[in-house]
Amino acid sequence: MSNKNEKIKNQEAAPPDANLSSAVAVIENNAPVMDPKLHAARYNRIITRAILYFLLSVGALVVLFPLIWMILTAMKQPGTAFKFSFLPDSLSYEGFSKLYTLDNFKKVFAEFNFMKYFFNSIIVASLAAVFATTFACMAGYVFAKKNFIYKDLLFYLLVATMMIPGMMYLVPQFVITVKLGWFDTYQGLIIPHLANIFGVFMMRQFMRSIPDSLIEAAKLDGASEWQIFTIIIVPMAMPIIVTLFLLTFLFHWSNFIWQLVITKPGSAILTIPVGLAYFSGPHGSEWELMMAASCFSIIPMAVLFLIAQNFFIEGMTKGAVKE
Amino acid sequence: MAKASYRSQENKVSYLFLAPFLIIFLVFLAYPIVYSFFLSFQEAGTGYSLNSLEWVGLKNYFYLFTDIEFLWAVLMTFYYALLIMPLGILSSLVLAILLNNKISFKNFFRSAYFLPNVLDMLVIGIIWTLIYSKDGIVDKCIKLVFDFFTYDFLGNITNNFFVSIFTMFTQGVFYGLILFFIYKIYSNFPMSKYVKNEKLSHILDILVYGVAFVLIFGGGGLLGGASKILGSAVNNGVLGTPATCMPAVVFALVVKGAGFGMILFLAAIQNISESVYEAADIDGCNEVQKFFYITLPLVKPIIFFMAVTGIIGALNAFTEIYAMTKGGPIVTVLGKSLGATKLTGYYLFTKWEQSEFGYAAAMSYALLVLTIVISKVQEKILSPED
Repeated sequence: MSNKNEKIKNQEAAPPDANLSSAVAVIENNAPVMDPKLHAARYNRIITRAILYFLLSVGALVVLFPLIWMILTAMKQPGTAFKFSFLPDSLSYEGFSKLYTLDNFKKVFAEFNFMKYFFNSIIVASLAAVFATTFACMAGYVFAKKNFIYKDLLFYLLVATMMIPGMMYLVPQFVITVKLGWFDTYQGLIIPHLANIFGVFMMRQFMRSIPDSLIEAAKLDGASEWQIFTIIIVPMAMPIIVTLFLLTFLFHWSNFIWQLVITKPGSAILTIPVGLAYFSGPHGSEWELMMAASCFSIIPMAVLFLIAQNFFIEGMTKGAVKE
Repeated sequence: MAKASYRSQENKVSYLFLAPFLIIFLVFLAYPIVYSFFLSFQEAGTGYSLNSLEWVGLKNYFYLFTDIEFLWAVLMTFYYALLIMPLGILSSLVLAILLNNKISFKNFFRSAYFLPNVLDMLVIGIIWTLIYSKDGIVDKCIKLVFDFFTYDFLGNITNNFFVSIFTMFTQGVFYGLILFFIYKIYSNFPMSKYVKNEKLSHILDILVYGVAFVLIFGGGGLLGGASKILGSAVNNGVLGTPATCMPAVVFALVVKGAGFGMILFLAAIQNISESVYEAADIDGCNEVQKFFYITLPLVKPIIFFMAVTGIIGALNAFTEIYAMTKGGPIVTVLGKSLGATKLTGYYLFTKWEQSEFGYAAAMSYALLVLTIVISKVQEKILSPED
């Protein structure tokens, strides 16, 4: 008991907040001398904050360093990738143009096929994202709201398949796709990866929270199953649909290994990463061109991320912990 | 009767909705697993084409367990996982703790750290190849360190007096500090503690101190080894040196992925009630104690999750290796030349490249079993008790 009292006393005796005391000091203008202990505490706080911001900035610099380095190198004059002078002699146009140029971007587009690769990537990623999201949405709805034969069995099958590491599919998926005659075609690039199990779970999770009464009411009004899905379910699930769309777009934008194995070198349907991988063979030492080409993969995704970052962050991390 | 027709109607509708997903799932996700099983008993015959597959029984599996390259790849995958898991967890946790303060620009830092996660692995890998390449920025920095420690200060003392003196003294401080630390550490464990005979304990003192000295300063010692590695890194680039290539690849990946774990940790830390910390404050805990006794136990599920995904990520690692090292550089182990960064994922890919589909399928199955075993073991060791 006495111990507890002591503690409470100590708490009361503890120095009040530094800010408050400084405010008091300002009000009592005749007492400019601060308690040296408080002064030290405040000083320490400033130092801690400075260290905190310093560490955060160093972290940001390290994390963003590859991007900064890519953009800087992409703008350098040919053959100067390993010359580390970034500041021009004079702040004039000549000073800058001695070091920097935009020709690399032009060259990558005009002389090499990166325009085509870029559009291929966009076509593949958006088509795949549209279809995968639609399919996952339909399947998720059924798993959330319907009872059907073999539902549990199917569900466990999905869960079990999700555990299998992706590399395991490389060979059999390749063989099956080739046997279907889809080698080096858009179908081959897109269709084998349209079944997004993770997306189905995401959809199911969300759609379970949509009240059944809404569906019942629509049924009483004579809505068909398809109308219920398109008029009630889809609009209500829009946030999660957008999230899944972005995630699948991202997945197919960087689905390098599949795009590498299912296309021929020099094919007309290469995507950016594969195009860059083949480009790095003969032009591996022309780093300015390589980095200029890299920008066309990195910058669109970075911009997309900045526009829709909450969708990305929530979608990528929420699903991770829920499992 | 009506109920039965309702149910069959419901089944029909459900499967119509499921159809597009289900067809692709069955053809491209479920069937491949079965097909892979049959494929693992076959071998591409003449011409290595898909049309000439022949049954070979268990040959692929027998070969798998005697294939030194495969066993080496598994070993390297574990090495990779053991590097990337602790580093990844640590860096994410540090970022989360830094970001968990009341700071301005919080959203900016959050986005900046997370941004690399959405970028294409291959392209990021190629950018790191530039950063790590010979004459690249990292190589230049290593060269500075290397030149500093190998500077011929006595030879240059006449023509470059101040540089020589400066190098000599800074090196002196460096080596002196090392000596000082050996002495400090060793003086806590003098041999006279364990050996009664005074003369013998002195001799043993000299011996232990001398061995420590040789281990650090001797030609084959730590500093010698480090300088050899640095020298090789200067000549061949960081990715071309066996000792540094794996840590370099891992560093690039940790930098790319740290923001992801950070968000997970941040969410977990913010879930911890403020009152718990206040109670700890009243009980007189300092920040370090608060971290170890409150924060760490409560973020344990996240650590478990990251360890599991870390090992699966290591078994799946391909793009980063393809972009940065292509499995190299070559090291010679037991008379066999092996790729220092040839992980299982990349080895699988090379087998695909050589059209050894049956062998690759057998390898996939072995890796699947390995993944299941490892995640079960991890679950036993790491899972939070709740």
